[in-house]
Amino acid sequence: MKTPVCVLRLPRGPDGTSRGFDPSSARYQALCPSTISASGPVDCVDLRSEQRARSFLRERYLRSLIAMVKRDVKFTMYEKVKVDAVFAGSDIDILNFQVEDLETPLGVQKEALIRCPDVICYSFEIDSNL
Amino acid sequence: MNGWCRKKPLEWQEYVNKEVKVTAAEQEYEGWVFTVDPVSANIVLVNLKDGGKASVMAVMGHAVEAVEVLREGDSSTADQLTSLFMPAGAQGYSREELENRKSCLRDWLEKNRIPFTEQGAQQETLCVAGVLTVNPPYGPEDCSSSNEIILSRVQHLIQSNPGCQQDQ
Repeated sequence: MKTPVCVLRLPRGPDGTSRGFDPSSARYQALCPSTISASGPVDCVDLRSEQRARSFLRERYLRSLIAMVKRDVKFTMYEKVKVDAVFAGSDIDILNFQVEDLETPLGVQKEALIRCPDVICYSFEIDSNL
Repeated sequence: MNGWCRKKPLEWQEYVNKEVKVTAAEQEYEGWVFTVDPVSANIVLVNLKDGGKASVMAVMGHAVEAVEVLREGDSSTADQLTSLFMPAGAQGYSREELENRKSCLRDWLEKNRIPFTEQGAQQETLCVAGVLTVNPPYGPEDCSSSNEIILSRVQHLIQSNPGCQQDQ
């Protein structure tokens, strides 16, 4: 494993204070609506089945995130960037991924935050205990 | 937001257990849909490989350009996908087994003079001292509480339960 490089920080954003993670910035609001709206005025039964679908899907996704923790994950990002890292966690809105040992052309970042709007896809392997 | 992100959860649920081809950023990704996250619209695709491994690929919702259904899965594919991510040993408790485990825990809590109530649609959740809940299958890892001290005490207590009529 390569020696980690010292912490690199993103340059400050246009508003002079944030580093691109400010959830109240116009960029964030445009890219990541964090409130999930239910479908328009529908009756109670439809809402119930929509909620059931929502929790079914979300539970499965959270389990896939749990399966990913401490594993090597390959992130394919925009501008032909592909990086490897060890997944550590995600925030609730799936806007940022926390990773460790992020391998970049500049060296290995011990701890890093990856912005999900910058990611196209991520992949990892697990054992299929069948 | 693209068309994919604007779909509703019931529409996304239709894709689960189907083999699809997702086009994103001029690349195509194929696999069996395990789930679509309703918060981010990320599509989690699985490809089972030989040698007991599975490759999991998730395409971010905001990057999805098109999704084409290739094949429908059957119930065995559905089971395989589900069992991939469920913690080992989580499945396989029948209703009677769960009832027994609950009674066993109830008796142990009573013996230790710990107050609790039963909650939930089928009275399946035990609420201990009003601050901690225990869900089926009532093991130490099934406790949740915002109080670390109580959580740790109750977990130790459950672990030290001398045992019920069967298993354990």
